[in-house]
Amino acid sequence: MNGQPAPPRKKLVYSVGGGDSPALVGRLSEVVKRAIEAPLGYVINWGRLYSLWPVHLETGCCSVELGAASGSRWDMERFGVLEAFGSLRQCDLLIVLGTVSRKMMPRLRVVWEQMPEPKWCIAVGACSISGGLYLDSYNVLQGVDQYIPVDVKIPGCPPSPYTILDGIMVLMEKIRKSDLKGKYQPPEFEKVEVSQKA
Amino acid sequence: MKAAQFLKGLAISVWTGTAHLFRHRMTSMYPEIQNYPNTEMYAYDPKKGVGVSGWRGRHYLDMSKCTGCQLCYIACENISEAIEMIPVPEAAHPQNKKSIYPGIDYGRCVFCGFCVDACPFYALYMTPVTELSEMERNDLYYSPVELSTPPVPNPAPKVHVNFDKRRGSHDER
Repeated sequence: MNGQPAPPRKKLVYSVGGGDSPALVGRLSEVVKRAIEAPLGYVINWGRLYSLWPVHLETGCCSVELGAASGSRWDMERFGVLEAFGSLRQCDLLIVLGTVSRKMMPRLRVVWEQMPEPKWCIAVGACSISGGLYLDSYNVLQGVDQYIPVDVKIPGCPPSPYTILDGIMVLMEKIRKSDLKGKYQPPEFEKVEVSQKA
Repeated sequence: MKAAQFLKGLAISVWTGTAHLFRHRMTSMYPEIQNYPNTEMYAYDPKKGVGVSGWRGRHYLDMSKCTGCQLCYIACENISEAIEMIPVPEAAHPQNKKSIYPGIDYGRCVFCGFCVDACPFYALYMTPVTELSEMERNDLYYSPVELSTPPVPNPAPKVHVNFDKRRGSHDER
């Protein structure tokens, strides 16, 4: 109200030695974080990746293949992906199957925002990845990943149950490499020296 | 009478349960065991005029046969526009003077196989590899050099599938 910006707050630094001087152990919070976060994140992610509860948004023929993948021949429950669930608000995996039109997108958004964090999304089939056959359509959206974050894309029209199982394994690999909050930590690539042509 | 009916029903249910113990396992143990019905590549058969049956998966491009005639691109043009001709100046093949080769976007491809039928030089094939899931959209674009690498054979053993009318399909033991 005075017209002057508030002075910047001083960062609170917890150090064992006291004062601003760096202690022998370093910042206590970092030490605690480092000691607890990695093993706790591993255990929690292990629990997350073997109990994925999916929401099926079925608007196309890919849902038939997902039904086959969850049947007795390709048993999806071996990977912990349950078929029966209580409510949207208990689920953590959204599977978009089929074309998503302009009128469907607000409903998909409502479904996505009802789910609690952490949550993941799989786009199955050419239609939901990029529009697929409906490339000139006036109302089919050209890819769901422009509107909601999509973690794994499973190509095919429709993909076979083997492909769907493979996509779920890719998602499990992604969850395994994510941190405590469910954010994916991509592996750091090693620097490879490329021999330049003269 | 009621007691006899009850005992009969009980015996039937117990018999059904125990009989299932000795049946073949229906489930395909996918990551450990692969059972494709056909491991041949999908290719065009000029005698029959149709494609030879096989699993339609990732393409395999033979760069030493491709002439850059763009017929696969024209075949895909009004279907899903997945194929794009990409210049590869490194590949020096005498029959391809423009040195353009098809690159495929698997986010758009619908695996119809028309590009394989259209190729007059048998440079395009379809392999049974369908494990193409990716985390990033850009990883689904396959360049000609990536397509020309032969698919890595999965080390998992391949098992033949028995189709039984009464007991359903199950893996051969």
